Amino acid sequence: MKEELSLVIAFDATSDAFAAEDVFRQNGLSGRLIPLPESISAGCGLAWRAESNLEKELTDALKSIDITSAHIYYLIL
Amino acid sequence: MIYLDNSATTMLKPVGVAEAVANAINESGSYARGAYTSAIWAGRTLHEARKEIAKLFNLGDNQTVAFCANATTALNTAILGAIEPGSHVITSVLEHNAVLRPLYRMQQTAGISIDFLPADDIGNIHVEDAKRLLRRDTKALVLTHASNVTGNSVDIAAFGKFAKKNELLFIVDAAQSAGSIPIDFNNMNADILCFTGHKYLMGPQGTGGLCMKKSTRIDPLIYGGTGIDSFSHDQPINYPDRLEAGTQNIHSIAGLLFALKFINETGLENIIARKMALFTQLYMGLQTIDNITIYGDIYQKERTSTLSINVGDMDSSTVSDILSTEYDICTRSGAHCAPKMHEALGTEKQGAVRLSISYFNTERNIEETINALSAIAF
Repeated sequence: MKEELSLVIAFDATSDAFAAEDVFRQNGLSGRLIPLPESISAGCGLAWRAESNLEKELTDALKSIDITSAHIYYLIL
Repeated sequence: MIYLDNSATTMLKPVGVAEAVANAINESGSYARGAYTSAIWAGRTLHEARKEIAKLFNLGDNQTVAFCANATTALNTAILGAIEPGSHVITSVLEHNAVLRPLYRMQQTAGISIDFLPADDIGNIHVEDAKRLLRRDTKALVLTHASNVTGNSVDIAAFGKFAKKNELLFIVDAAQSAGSIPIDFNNMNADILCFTGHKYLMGPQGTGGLCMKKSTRIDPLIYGGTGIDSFSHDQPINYPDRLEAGTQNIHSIAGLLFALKFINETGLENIIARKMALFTQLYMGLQTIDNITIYGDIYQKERTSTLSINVGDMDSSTVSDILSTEYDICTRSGAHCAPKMHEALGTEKQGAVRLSISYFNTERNIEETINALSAIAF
């Protein structure tokens, strides 16, 4: 599989991950839920993987549903 | 069969609930345990159910829903996890054992003291009594939204204002009112609202939860896997995740989701109107029968479709058994897990026959029940 730079959003709660997926889809923002990469945090959980140029749109969407504690990373995945 | 024990559980569910459960058994993986298709399906189902609850109970910003097995689990979580040890708590004689027993437990193990709001002759409680019971060390108010015995509602708005003014943690038991009385969580000044899914929300058994402000601190009742922060010794700090350890009952929540959509699409006001029309038919039929005693505040503007009665001095279990064996009418007798309510009504020995009506009962059901009770009372 071709590796590429991706924007990855990690959440403090799984409920936030699904609320985020919902609002991203409502706003037509592409991406998908993935297992939280170990390079972000050892353990488990979900993260949102999207194209690397969508940070503003994604963070605006998160703010609209009061998710302010998401963490944004840029990773080669 | 005529089923009139809907305050225990609704047997007749909206068409599609059972199919939704069956479909979930085939489709759902485990919530928060992966990003593969069936685990995502589970997560989306839980999220949709949170949204439907939020719509039905008018949750606001920074308020959320934590799911659990039933109202009893939700109430235990709220009472044992949020009430300050050593404090004074006000509750009422209307309460179910799901409230009373966790409070008694805290009395024994955490040094809380408890005072009970009394009920008047028709089973209502009054905020003036709460003002009288208030102490310097009062920290919490725990009240049912509606009695499971009389069907009377409690003036939650008035008690909410009282709680807010006196900075009390306000826990509301909505086991009977959810699906029967409009709930406006965002404006009722409650900190925690506990509900079950299988009564008047018409979902499967094994579902329930609590609505809360995300800022309310509740220690978990259950500790375990959450699919996140696996190396932490504690539960995740964020709600609702902090309160949702263990595998979620997505199969039943899928059924509850279907039922919630049914309620939201049908309109709660239409469901209430239907149930109260049947309730009025039942009351009008029974109140003309000599020898039948009816309990509660029948003319309340907001109440549930539950009516408790007795026939003369007959044991309530005898009446309920005759209704079952001779007429195939399902009712509940005895004390209904609300001992102080029966003490207040003077029915602690006789109990009461509880007839509780659902959206799916019919006029014919009510007519046959009136006829049966008329014959028993004759």
